[in-house]
Amino acid sequence: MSDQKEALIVKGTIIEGKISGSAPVRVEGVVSGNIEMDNTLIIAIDGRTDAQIEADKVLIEGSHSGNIRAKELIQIAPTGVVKADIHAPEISLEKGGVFSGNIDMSSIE
Amino acid sequence: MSESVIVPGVKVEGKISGNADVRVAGEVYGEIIIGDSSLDITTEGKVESEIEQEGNNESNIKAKNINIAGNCTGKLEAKELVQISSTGKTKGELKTPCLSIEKGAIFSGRIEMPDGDSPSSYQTAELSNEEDSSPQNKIYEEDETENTVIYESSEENNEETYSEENDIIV
Repeated sequence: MSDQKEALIVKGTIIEGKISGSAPVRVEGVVSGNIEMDNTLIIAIDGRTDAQIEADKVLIEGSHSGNIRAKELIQIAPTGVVKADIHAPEISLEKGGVFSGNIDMSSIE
Repeated sequence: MSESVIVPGVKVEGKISGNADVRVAGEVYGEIIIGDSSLDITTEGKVESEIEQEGNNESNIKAKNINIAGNCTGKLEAKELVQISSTGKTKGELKTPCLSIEKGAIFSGRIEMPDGDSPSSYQTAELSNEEDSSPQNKIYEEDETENTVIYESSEENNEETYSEENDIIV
């Protein structure tokens, strides 16, 4: 059951490198590099990420640049700012969100 | 209290820095440089940093306080305190003004505790051990082979372990 616990990068923490794993991750700090996970990634409103992301679901409420591949869903919240090429079978961009890049909705094996 | 948590199942490879406390219950390979904050390695946590590095003496795990209940390898440097609890396993170098190693802990490597300009707790420890008037370093050299430091009183791990009511048996 430990996989249910969410990893948390609080505001004030900076990670440079690669984050991987099977637990959900919530970013309120700064991450630059790569994120490869088999779970949900949330970039919270204070989160600043510059990373290549592979995850099941990605929710962006903060600021992100870097390509995203999600197996299920990429959701950009009204506060989200995304500069990236994104690839997922389901994409949601909520009113207020800012996006620039390519969108690919072909299925991901 | 603002604390980043690397939970079990998550691995970080690279560098963690910043001004927030960090708790590692997962795996970290690389550096943790959080000078004024606390680093807590839980029983399931693992932190691995370089220990063999030609010509490079820089500490790669740096924090204000470092608490080790899990596994830690690297060149550690604490501004205030390093605590290795009974489940802790530590390998590498320790640089700290104040150190606590609980019975059952496993340590291998080198310890450096600077003299002069120490916090008062450090000086009290030296005074309370009347048999051994040599610098604090000597106590821990012997303890490396025994792997234990025995405290007469409380099992609680806090900075007060260096206060007068504790005897350090060498």
